[in-house]
Amino acid sequence: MAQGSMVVVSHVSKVYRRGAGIATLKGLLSGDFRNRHEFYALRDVDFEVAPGEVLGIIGANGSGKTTLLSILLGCVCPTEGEVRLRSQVCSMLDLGVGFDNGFTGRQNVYQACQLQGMTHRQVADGFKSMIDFAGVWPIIDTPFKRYSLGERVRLEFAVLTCLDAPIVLVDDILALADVAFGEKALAYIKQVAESGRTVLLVSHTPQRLVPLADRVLWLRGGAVADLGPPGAVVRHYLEAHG
Amino acid sequence: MTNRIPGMAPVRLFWLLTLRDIRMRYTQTLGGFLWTIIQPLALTLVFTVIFSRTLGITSGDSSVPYPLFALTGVVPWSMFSTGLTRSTSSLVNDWPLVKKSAVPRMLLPLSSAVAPVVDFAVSCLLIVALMVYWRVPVRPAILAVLPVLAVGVCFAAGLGLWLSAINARYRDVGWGLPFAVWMGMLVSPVAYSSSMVIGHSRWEVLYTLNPMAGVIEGCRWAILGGDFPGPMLMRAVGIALVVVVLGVLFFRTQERSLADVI
Repeated sequence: MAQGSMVVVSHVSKVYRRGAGIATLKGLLSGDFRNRHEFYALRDVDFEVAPGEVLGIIGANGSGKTTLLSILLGCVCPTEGEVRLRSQVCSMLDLGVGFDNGFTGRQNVYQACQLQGMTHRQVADGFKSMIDFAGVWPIIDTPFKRYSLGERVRLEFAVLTCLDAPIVLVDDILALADVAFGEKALAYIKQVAESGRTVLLVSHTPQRLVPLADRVLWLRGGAVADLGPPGAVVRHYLEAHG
Repeated sequence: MTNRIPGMAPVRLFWLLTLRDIRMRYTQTLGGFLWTIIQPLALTLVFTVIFSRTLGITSGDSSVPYPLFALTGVVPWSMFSTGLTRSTSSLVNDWPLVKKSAVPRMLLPLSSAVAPVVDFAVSCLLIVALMVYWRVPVRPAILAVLPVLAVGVCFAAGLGLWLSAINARYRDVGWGLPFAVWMGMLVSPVAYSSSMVIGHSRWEVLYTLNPMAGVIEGCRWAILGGDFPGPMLMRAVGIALVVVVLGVLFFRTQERSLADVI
């Protein structure tokens, strides 16, 4: 491990089994499980991220971006290799983790923030700014299931703005946001990127990464296709997929 | 599987999840917490009509009115069965937490198994009210229900650790469990006294291997008095501990792959 790296991913591979496997008794009896084949979601991925660096991650659907972030968060274990993190992480892997439809917006904010490790006090302190950010004051005590899709996304994203761990993992979570809120959220991510925290940011819109990221990692079929300055990597990527 | 979330003490998180479980159960119900009382009352009523009035089953060796006797079985049993059922489905129900958060997985089945203790506390008020009504003395020994209850919770949590992890892989568990719980109630001294089985059946050893037999008789002893069901309770403690320890070990082996298979 190089001195001072915040995130070290060394020779990480992740194998998933495909095919029905022995998911059913029928499969077991018919011998289908012998037909299952192995699939490398990640193949010998190896890189490091320096403190304060913003690493953009791009790649086609199914190239292993989310698997990589899940491994970094500790939700998924690599089949081979290992990851090391020098600090605590907070995850923006998905919107609405810890949210429940039956609870009100307010209850959900407390719930979700606390599940991410904040204390009740910390949530109370950040509550106003979160709801301001989401712009959902009039419906904050309404059950979450009555929220429109846009309102949900805004509140779910607002919760993530309260997290302050030194390493931030962000999946491409803004696909559902409307233009205005998308801009706002992007501005927030930009602010995080500039705040000196270490950010790993997945995006399906590579052009967005160019001004944000210090380096960009391109995953193709689970392997690192390219890693380097954003402009060059994104250009290669767009050429390959153009 | 490390927990890398800042400031997240497992104990605090455990309580958070337990409270969440309690709250979640009664969202969008009119009755809310009344349901904790309605269920045991309804079951006790049916038992009273069928077992006591029709089949002539008595309150075992004690002289308390049968409804009170049945209730002291129904209440710990429903705490156990609710805890076990919710614990088993905890990982599957909360799959976003399993796949997308760093919450230590083991806390999910554990907190769901513990949450119904609140139901028990509410139902105890009902029991005490009926005791006052029927002039059954409320003795300080009633506090002994707490350690007895802990044994039941341990057993539910231990089974929950096993079943939740298996359920994540094979949903068969979710199908089989309601049936198993229903059978479990029949082989536990809920509607009748274990003294009807012990000394009267070849199966009594097998019967007392069910920790809930000891737990329910223990609760009855604490609340209503009578003979201390020592051997049964000791057996319950032993088995519950074994199940919970093996459950933790088993869960540890499964934990790493939960997000992959759920």
